[in-house]
Amino acid sequence: MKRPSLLPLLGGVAVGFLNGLLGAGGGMLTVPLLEHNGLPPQKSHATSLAIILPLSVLSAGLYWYRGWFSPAEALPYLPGGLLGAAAGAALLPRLNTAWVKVVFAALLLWSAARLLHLW
Amino acid sequence: MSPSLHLLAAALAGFAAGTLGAMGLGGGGVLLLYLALTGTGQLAAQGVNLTFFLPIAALSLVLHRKNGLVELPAALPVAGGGVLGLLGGIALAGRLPGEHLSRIFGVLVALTALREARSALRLFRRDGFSLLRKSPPGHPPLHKPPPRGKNSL
Repeated sequence: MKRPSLLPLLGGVAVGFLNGLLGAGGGMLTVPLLEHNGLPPQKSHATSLAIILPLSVLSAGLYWYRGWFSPAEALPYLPGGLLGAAAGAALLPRLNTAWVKVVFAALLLWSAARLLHLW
Repeated sequence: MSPSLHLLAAALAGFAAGTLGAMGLGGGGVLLLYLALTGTGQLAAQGVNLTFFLPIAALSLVLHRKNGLVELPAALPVAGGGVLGLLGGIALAGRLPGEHLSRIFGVLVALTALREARSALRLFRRDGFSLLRKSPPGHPPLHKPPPRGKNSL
């Protein structure tokens, strides 16, 4: 029998810290964390949502409570977001996602340079 | 930007963020990237990004749960630790100037870029360079369901 490990709890602290500090990015940690604990990749991705969703509800609520934003500001992005999610789910099994990742990685590098004021 | 142009840009940004998010890319930060680069204040951008994510995540979670892919016992300790970390993260976010936050976000974005590039290389090695997957839809060999048994936790 496996000894209970502290890793999920400590990893969770890091996930929550990112979620609260930056409002994004926790999923980058939850999936490898769950895989490390023996969940297969597909289940790790699905279970990751069960962690990030309640944390995001709490974060968004606290951001709102502190007057940092108003939830209505998110409305213009939602219809496009839901349509996009359906499109992404339909494309995923058909497209070789490596190409999407290459384009996306280039876009991310450019954005990071802008955010870090490298030019 | 005129109001109608702003709405169009928002719809497109939302669509792109939703598409990439559903493909598992970007860790839920794509809309935040758009907002941060187009002049929304960093804290407001983060709040909008969190809210934007909620309905999409809730829908996906319901679907995954129906398919038996969600392991709540594995999620609980991580979520528990998460609440503690979240309170710390929000306390820090409230103290840091937005400029510092957006730089920290920039580092996270750069790390994500490297991760996606590495994952792309692995996929190219495994599946070759064709734009479309060769298998007909409905018979994807790439996403075999995990074996069900005593080892699947």
